[in-house]
Amino acid sequence: MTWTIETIIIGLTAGAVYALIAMGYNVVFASTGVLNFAHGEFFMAGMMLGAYISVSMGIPLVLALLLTVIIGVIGAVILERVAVRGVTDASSGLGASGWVLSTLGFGIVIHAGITLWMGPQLRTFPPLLPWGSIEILGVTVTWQRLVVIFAAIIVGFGLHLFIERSRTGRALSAVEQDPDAAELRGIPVIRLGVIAFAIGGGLGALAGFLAGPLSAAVSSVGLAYGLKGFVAAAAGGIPSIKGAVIAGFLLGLLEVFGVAFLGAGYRDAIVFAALLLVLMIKPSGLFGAGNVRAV
Amino acid sequence: MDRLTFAGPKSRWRYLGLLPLALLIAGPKAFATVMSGVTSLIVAPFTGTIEFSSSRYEIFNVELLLVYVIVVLSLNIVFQNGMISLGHSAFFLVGAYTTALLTTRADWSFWLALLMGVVLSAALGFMLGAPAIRLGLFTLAMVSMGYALVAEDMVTEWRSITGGGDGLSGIQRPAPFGELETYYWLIAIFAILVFFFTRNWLRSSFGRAGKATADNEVAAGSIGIDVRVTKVRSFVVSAALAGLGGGLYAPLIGFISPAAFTVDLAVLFLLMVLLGGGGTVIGPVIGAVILFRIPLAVEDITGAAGNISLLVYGVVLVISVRLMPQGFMSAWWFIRDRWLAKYKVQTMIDELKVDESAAHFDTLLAAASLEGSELRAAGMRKQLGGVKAVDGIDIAVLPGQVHALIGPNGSGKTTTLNLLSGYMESDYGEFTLNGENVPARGYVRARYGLGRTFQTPLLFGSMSCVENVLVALDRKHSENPIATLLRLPTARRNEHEKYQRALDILAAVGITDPDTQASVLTPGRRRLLEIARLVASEPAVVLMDEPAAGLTSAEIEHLETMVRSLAAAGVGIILVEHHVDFVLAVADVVTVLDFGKVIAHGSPQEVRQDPVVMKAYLGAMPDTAEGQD
Repeated sequence: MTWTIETIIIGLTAGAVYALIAMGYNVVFASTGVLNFAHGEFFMAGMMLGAYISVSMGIPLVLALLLTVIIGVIGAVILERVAVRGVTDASSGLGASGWVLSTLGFGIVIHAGITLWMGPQLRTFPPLLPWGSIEILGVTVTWQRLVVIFAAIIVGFGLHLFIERSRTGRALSAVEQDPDAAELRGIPVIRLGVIAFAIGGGLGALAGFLAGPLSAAVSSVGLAYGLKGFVAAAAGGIPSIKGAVIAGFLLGLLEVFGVAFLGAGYRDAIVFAALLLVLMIKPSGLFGAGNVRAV
Repeated sequence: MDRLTFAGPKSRWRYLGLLPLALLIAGPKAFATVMSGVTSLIVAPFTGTIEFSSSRYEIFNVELLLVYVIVVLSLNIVFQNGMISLGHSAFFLVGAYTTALLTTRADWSFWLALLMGVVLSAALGFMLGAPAIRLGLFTLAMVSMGYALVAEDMVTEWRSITGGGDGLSGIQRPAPFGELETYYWLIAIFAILVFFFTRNWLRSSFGRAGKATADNEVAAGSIGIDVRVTKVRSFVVSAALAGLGGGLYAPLIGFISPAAFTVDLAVLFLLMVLLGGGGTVIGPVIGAVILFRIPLAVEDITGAAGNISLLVYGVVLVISVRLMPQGFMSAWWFIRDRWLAKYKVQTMIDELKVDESAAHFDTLLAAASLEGSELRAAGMRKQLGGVKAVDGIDIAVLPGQVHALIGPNGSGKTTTLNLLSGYMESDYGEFTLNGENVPARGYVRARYGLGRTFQTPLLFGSMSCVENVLVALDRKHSENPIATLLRLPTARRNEHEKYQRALDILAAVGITDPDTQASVLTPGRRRLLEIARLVASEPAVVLMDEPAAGLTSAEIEHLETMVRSLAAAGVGIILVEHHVDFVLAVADVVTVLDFGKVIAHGSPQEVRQDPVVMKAYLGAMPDTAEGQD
């Protein structure tokens, strides 16, 4: 019983991280149609910069968190300007695939740059809250885990409300449905793209910062987390925020229990088998709009 | 754009292709010398030295590059078909491990082991290709990356068979190619074969069907292309070739471990394709050379590999996308065309000569000896959301008959066409062509001779006009795939005939610039091209959705004669149209729809005088409605 609860909490924590990453993909994709292949490296950068700012520079954690997120936002705005804008509007289909190359390239730059600067070794990352742990149902749970889980839920709700209720948020989803029509109605498509990338970059860095204390910071995590975050997004149904959060948590749970029963070597196999299964049954994902339209 | 056919005017630059071939044949030392020399020339400003080296290290690099070229060429086939795979390291891995395991542990001959690796990779390609049909573009990219990751994990996990993380060593090169210098020849021969194979693939009916699918799946289905078959076929062929690359890689290195088959490698392959120009014949090779040499060049400069070269790499990618968003080859063509344009006399696009074109069109159709079919649909019903979009409609069209379907907006005309085309399944109703039940799948009905044009013309935008027509001709002129891929004389003749016929059809509809890319045509010419493609698919019954929309009055006149000619050739036509004059001029029978039901049916004259129709559609005073549109 204790083991089950422990495993669930570990799974939910991992899932929360995936959910946060997934939301970043979704916000960007929803308003630009771009899948940010550098997103996993933003997560990594958030983790490494967080460790650097809080430990090496000795800046208080809350301030360090704020700084990290701001850097993530700035980085994403640069990414949008350098690697996306003007590259997406080629003629048709895969002709417009330049951004695949440039976002991958930008991710490589972040990865190599941070590894060069901070080295490939692990860095310690202090927990966000000083209180240690509490006991839930007879199980000791660190506050860090609870923080991560609640952060994912709160950010998910906030983002959901933002997209559904606020003018800017609604405009973001309008752009996704029909960029030309949105442009004609006076919606500033380019500015919204920048905003979407800013939110996405901030979310990526935030996720990295929150996940840092769970293990330790290291510059090689970008690919794996970027991929898992995408799995959560796709299984949840891009660009649904609700889907990202729920699928993120489910993915985390599936992963820990899968590893517990089958062994760590099958971690990725389980994850991708589950994704394929979901997509075979419902191609648009759990909460995706079943967009089936004839000519 | 790169051509998708072997026929047509020859490029003046094609002999440039002989240079790399000559270099390959010149042997490992010469190749290595040129490669290392060019690299050192480029980095000379930083290093201050120029060195032409044919050391064993450089020879090894050349061979590794050729192995990568094989994989990159294979990936290009998938990309050209409109799919992004970030999982080709998995096929590379399967080929390498199969060859290594069978030769070291089971004492198989290298050749059999290599074959087995290719077969197993193809099988894995089928497993990845099958879901590819249903996944979105980027979901497929990520899922394929998952395959690469899982393949790497599995090899690490199955320690007893694969040696786990420690890898497999002692992989021998096969007999006459035992040394590094001689092994070069084996790799070079395969690289040349794979190059010509992929070139022939891309420029034959396979490549055209793939490109058409990538451009527009609905339009591809409308001429009878089975999108699923195209995609799975590309994946299987591509995976087999990537497996071949892996099988050649293992003996080259002599030692393999999971660390050599990371997702990073799969990403590198894709970057090579994209940088050079995805879907082009030569582009991926150029991309492979550039991205292969960059880390070595950086190493020359800094004396250290690793993250610095990775950094340079990333920067090069971002900059190159800004400079040439569609890859190296597109940029090259752009420059070349600008340069050639200086010397070329600009010709005005010919005015459309309607009479001439109409006569040509008639002769063409007469020569095609089309056979009309009788289409019957009875009691079709379709509910869309809460609306009965189609509520019990019967339609029949006889060979040679023009049947117009008119009605106010939202009366169910386009839904009816989509039901007939098989794009939607009707909730209830029967559908027969010449008395035969045909399942409601777009491409199946197209194969039974049901042609279709669309409200907004659906063309294969990235292909030229003549290629758009060729894709449709491919469906009707089956060919021997082996002759095609080997480009035997029969296949060349066949291709040439098809090309001439495509030009003929284009001329007959009035398109005189066959090499223009379809996406830059004017709306009127788009309609014409769609009709040319339709004629090329030799339809028995044709469904046209508002063919006159957006045309000038001269163009409508032209369209009118073409519709008449098609009917005269025996093709049955169902026409949805708002343009009343046009309908009254060409239709034999008119059916009027409103709220998903037939409200009138008869000859144009009868319908015109029907009071219900006047009220619902033409307005109360038909005389004022006339002449407007």
